[in-house]
Amino acid sequence: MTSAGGKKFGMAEFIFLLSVLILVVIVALPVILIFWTSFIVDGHLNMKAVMDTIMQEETFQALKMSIMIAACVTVTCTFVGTLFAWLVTRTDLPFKETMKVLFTVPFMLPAFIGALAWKMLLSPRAGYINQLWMAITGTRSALFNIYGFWGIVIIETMYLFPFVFIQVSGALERMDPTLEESARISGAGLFTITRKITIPLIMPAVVAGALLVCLYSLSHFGTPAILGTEVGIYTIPTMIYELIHQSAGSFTAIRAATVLSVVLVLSAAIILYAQNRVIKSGRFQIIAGKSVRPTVLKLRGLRMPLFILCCVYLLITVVMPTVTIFLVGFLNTYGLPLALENMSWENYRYVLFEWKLTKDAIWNSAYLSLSAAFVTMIAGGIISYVLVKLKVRGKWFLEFLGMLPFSLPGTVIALGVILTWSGRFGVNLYNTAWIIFVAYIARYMAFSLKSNSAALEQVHDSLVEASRASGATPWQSLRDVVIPLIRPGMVAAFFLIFLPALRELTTSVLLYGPTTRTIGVAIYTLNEDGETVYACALAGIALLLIVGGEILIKRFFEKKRRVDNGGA
Amino acid sequence: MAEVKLEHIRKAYGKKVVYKDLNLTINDGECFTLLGPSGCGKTVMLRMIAGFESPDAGTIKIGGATQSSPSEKIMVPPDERSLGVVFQDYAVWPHMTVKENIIYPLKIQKIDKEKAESRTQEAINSVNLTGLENRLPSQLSGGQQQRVALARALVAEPKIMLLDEPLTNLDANLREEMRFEIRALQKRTGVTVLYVTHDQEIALAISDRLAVLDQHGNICQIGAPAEVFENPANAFVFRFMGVSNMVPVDLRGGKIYVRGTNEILSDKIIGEVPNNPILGCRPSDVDLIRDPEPGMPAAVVKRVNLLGPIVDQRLDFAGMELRSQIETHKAVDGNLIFNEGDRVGIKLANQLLFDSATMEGVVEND
Amino acid sequence: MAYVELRDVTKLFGEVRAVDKLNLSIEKGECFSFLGPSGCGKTTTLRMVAGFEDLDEGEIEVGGKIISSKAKNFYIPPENRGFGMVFQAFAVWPHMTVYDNVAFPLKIKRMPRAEIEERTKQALANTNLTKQAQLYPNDLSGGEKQRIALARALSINPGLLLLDEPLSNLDPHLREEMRFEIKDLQRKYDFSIIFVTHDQSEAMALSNRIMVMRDGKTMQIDTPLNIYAKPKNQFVFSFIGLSNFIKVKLDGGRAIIESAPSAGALSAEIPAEFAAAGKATLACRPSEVNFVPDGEGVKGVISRMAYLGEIVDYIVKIGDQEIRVQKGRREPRLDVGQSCDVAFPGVVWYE
Repeated sequence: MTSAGGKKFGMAEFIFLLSVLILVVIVALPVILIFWTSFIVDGHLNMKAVMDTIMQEETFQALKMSIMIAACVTVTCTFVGTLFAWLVTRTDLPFKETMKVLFTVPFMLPAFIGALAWKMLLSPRAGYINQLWMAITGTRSALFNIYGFWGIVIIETMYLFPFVFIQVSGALERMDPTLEESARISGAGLFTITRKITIPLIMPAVVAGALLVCLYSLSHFGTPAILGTEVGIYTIPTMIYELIHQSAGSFTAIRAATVLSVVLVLSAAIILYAQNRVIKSGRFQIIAGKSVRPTVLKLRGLRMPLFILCCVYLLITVVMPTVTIFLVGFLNTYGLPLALENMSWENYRYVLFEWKLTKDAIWNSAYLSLSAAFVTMIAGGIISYVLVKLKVRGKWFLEFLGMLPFSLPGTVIALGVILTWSGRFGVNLYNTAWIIFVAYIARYMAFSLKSNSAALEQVHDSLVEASRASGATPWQSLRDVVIPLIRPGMVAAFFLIFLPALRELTTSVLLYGPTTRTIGVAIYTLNEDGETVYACALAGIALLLIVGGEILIKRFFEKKRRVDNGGA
Repeated sequence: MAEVKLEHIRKAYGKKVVYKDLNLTINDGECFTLLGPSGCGKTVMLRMIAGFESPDAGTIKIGGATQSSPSEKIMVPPDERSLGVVFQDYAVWPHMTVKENIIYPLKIQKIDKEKAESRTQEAINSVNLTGLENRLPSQLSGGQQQRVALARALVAEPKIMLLDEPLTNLDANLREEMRFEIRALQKRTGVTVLYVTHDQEIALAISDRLAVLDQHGNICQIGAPAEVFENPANAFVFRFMGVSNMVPVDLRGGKIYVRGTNEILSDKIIGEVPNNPILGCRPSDVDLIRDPEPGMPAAVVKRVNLLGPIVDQRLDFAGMELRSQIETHKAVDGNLIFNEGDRVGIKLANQLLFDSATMEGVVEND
Repeated sequence: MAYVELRDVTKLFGEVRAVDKLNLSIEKGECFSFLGPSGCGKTTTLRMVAGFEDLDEGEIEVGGKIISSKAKNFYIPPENRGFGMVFQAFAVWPHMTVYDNVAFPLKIKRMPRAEIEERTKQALANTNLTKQAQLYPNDLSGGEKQRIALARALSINPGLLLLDEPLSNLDPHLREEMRFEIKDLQRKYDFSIIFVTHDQSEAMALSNRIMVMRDGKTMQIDTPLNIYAKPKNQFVFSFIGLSNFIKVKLDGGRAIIESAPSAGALSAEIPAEFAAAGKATLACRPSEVNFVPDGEGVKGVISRMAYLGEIVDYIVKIGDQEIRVQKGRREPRLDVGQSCDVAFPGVVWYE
C-alpha cells in the first residue's frame, strides 16, 4: 500500500536508503570494527584474549577506578542535586527563581576547564589556596590535594550535579500538589508526607538523573586526565588515550583499547536501557491537572543558613574557578603571586593574534563545529523524517541504527573512527581535520535525531493532508508546510551541536594531528606542556565564547516562544 | 454536479475487514452525515473519498468522474479532486496567519492575486473572522481555529466538503454555535457536504440525510433525521440515537408482558412482531401517573434526579429499570416529582418492538 | 445547632476579596453544594474549611468545635481536622496499591492492625473495589481511581466529606454512577458533604441545598428546585440553565417587548412592585415558552430550527428580540420562516 497516487514511491525508498547509508557509514561501521578488533584474533573468535586483556593489571585498574569514580560521583550528585532541587521548589528560600537559574550554570562550564582551575587552586604545592593555607597556619602540608580519586570525584560532582537538579526540580514542580494535600487531610504530618509520598513519587526523576550522571562520568575524559594521570590514576577513557598515544600503531595496544571501548559501550547501553525503563514505567504519572501552588515549607531559623550554603556552593563551583582562569590568564609567568604588577593583557593578545598553535585551534574548532553542526542537522532531519513520517518496509532496521548514536561515548567514537578511516577502506583521514569532522557527526547525531524527531512529531499528519486537500502536491506540501514547521527544531539541533562541539575534548584529543588541534585539545596540551598561563588565557576566551553563545541562544528561543504564544 | 457515488467498495486492513461491499450515494448539494460509534470505519470512508486511502476494490465517483478504481488502476491524488477537508484537530498551519492559511489553496491554483485577495476576504467574512486576518493560529481560540479551517476548505469553491468530526474538540456552547454556522454556510453555498461524527445530536441537527453505521461498518439505516430518530430500523439505531429503555417482553393475548412475569407493560401491540421481542421506548415516552388506578401498570420510584430543565426518575418495574424524563415545569405543574419509594402508574406514549438479535454491541451514547 | 458553621468568613488575595463575609450553616447528613463560575471563590472556601488556607476574617466551626478563627489566630492543621476529601485530579498515590491507598489514613492514626484491615476491606467493598485491592492505581480507569479516592476519604469515617469537583474528570455516564454511589454511602453513614462544582446539573442532582456564588459573595442559598424555579436574581437565573431575558415596557397594565412594540402585549400579570417602575426584565427558560393558537400570544417568526431528537430547538424572532424555545419531541413541529404566536406562562420578573 502506498499513499496517494503512488507518485511518492520512489522518493520514500530513496530517502530511506540514504538514511540507512548515512548511519551505517558514520555510526555502525566504527562500532562493528571495534567489536571485530576486540573479539576476533587472526580471524577467529577469541574470548580468552579478551579476558586476558581485561585482567591485565593496568586495564583492570582503570576499569575498577572508572566504576568507583562513577559510583561515587553518582551518589554525591544525587544527594547535592536533590537537596538543591528541593530547596528551590518546596521551601521559602530567598530568591528562589534566581537560584534555580544559577544552579544550572555549572552545566555551561566545561568540566575540564573546572578541573584546570581547581588544579591551580588546590595542587599540593603551587595551588593558591594551599599556599594561602600554609602561609596562614605556617605548616608545610597542603589543606587539600586535588590530585587523585577524591579530587576527581569532587570536581565531577560540581559540574555534573545539574543533571539530577534539573530532573528533580522539574518533577517537584510538575507534581500534582493534591497528592500531598490528600495525605495531609488523611492525617499525615509534613515529615510523614515527605517520607511516604513525596520521595517515592520523585524517585524515578532522581534515578533518571543519577543514571545520566553515571553515564557521563564513565565516559568523561578531561577531569581524570588532568587530575589523575599525574598521580598514576587512570580511567577507561584516559587509559584508551594512553594506549593509543603511547604505543602508536602497536596492535596489542589498539586491541586493548577496543576491549575497553566494548566495556564502555555495553555499560552505556545498560544504563540507557535502565533509564528508559524508569522513565517509561507509567506508574508515576504525577503531573498536575490544575495549577495550584504547592505547599511551601517554612525554613524559619534555617532559612538564612541554607541560603548562605547555596551562595557559597555557587561561589565555589562557578565564581572561584572562572575568576581563577581569567586571573591566571593575565599572569606574566605561572607561579607569580596574583598581584596587579604581575599582570598584563599580553597572554590574551598572544593567544588570539600571534601564536599559530592557538590561532589554529580557535579556527579549527570554529569551522569544525559549524560544519559538523550544519551537516548533522540536515542528516538528522532526513533520518528523523523517515523514522517519524514514512511508512517503508524495513524501517525497524533504521530504528535500530538510530538508537546506536545515543549509547556511544566520545572515546569509543574516536577509536571507531580511527579504525574505519585509517586506510582500511582505502581512505586515510588520519591527522586531517576530516577525521574529527566525521567523529563529530557521529558523536552529535543523537542530539540531532532527538530534536528533529520531536519537531516532526509535532507536525500532525492532518497538516499535510490539509495541504494536499487544498490542491498542493507532495513536494509543495513539504516546501510550504513541513519544512517551515520543523525549522525551529532544526535550528535547535544546530545549536545543541555547535556549542558542545566548540568545547569538545574527549573525542578530539584522540584524533588531533599537528595542525588540527581544537580549542579543547589546545587547552589540554598546553596544560600538559606546562604552558599554564596560555592554557588559562585560551580557556578564558573559550569561556567567553561559550557563555556568550548560550546567552544569545536563550534570547533567541525566548523571543521566538514569545512570538509563538504572543497575544493569546 | 457533485454527486458522490461509492460502488461495491471493499476495504480491509490486514485481516480486519472494514467494508465488504459498500454502496452509497450522496446527492448533489445535500448535507449528508455518516454517524457511527468509534471504530466503525466512518473516517476510513471519508479518507477514501478524499483520496488519502485507496479502496481495495470498487469505484468512487465524484460528479460522475471516476476518482478511485483499483481495477482500472485509477487513483486521482487528493490535490486533484477539488475538495475541502476539515479535520478534527483543525489542522491549520501554525506558521501562517489566518489570511495566509485561507489564501493558500488559491495560491496553489495560481489564481490572479487580486481575485485571490478578494475571495479570501469574502471567505474570512463568511466565517466571522473579520479583523483577525493577521493573527497566528496560536493567538486564536479553538472555535476560531476551526473557522479558519472551514474558510480554507471553502475558499477554492470545492465540489465537496468533507468534515471529519470537526466539532469534537470544542466546548458545548461553541459546538452548538458552530453547528448552526456550518449548516448556514452549506445552505448559502450549496456545496455537497459529507460530515462524519459519532455524536448523534450533531448528526440530527445538521443533516439533510444521515447514514447510521454499526460497529462492523454495516449501514443500518439511511434517512432524514426525524425518520431515523422516530422510526429506527433496529435496536442498534434506536439505542445509538439517544437514552433508551429496553425491556425484554412476551406477547400474549394482544398484550405485552415483561418477559417471564405477569406484569402488563402495554395493552396494545403496534406493527410487526419480531422473534424474541424487546420493547424500546424513550424516557420521554414514559408518562407517570400519581395514585394509579387498580389494574394500571405500576412501578416503584427508586431515584429522583433534577437535571435542570428535565426531571429524571428511575423506576423499578417487575425487576426492570425504567427511566422516565419529564420537563421540569410540567412536572412541577402536574405535581409529578415523586419521593423515592412512591408507587406510580406508568403509561407508554410510544413503543417499538425490536428483534433482540440487533441489540448486540450497542454503545450507550448519552 | 448546625454541624458546620461559617461566620463572616473572608479571604483576601492582595486587594481582591476572593471570599467576602460568607455565612452559612450545614446540617448533619446534608449534602451542600458550592456552585459558581471559576474564580467565584468556591474552591477557596472549601480549602479554608479543609485547613489549607488561613482566614482573613471570621471563623469556622464544625461539630461544635472552632477549627479556624481569625480573631483567636487559631487554626487546627488539616491533618488534625479528621475530614475526608476528594480532589478533581484523583490524587491517588501511584506508588501504593489500591489497598495501601485506602489503608493509609488508618495507618497514620496508628489503629490496631485488625481494625485497619477490617475498615479498609469495608471501604473497598463499599466502593466495589474489593477485586482491585492489590492492583496499582495506574492499571485502573478514571472512574476506579476516583472510587479509590472516595474509599480513602471515607475509611476513617469522617463527619464531613469535602468534594472538590470530583466528577469533572470523568465520562458522563461514569459521573452519574459516582453520584449515585456517593449518595448511597451518605445515606449509609450519615456524613455531611460539601460539594464544589461549576456544573449546575451535577449540583442539582446531588445536593439537598445549593449556594450559588459570584465574586466571593453568596447569591442564593436554597433547594435545587427553588434555585431552578425561583432564582433570586438574573445571575442565578442565567447560571442555572438556558435562559431568555426580555426587556419590557409596562404601560397601562400591559407588558410590551421593548424591541418589538407592535408584536402585541404579553399576557402576564404584572406584579405590583414593578408596575410603578414602568419597565422590567422578564426571564424565562426556553422550555417554558409555548406556541399558542393565532391571536393568543405575541407574534413572531421561526428564524432557526434544529431537530435534536428528544427536543426541537427554535429561535423565534419577535421584532428584534430573539427568543430561544425548546419543545419536547412529542409536541407539534414548526418550520423555519413560519409565523407563530408565543406565550410565556412561566416568567420571573427582575428589575
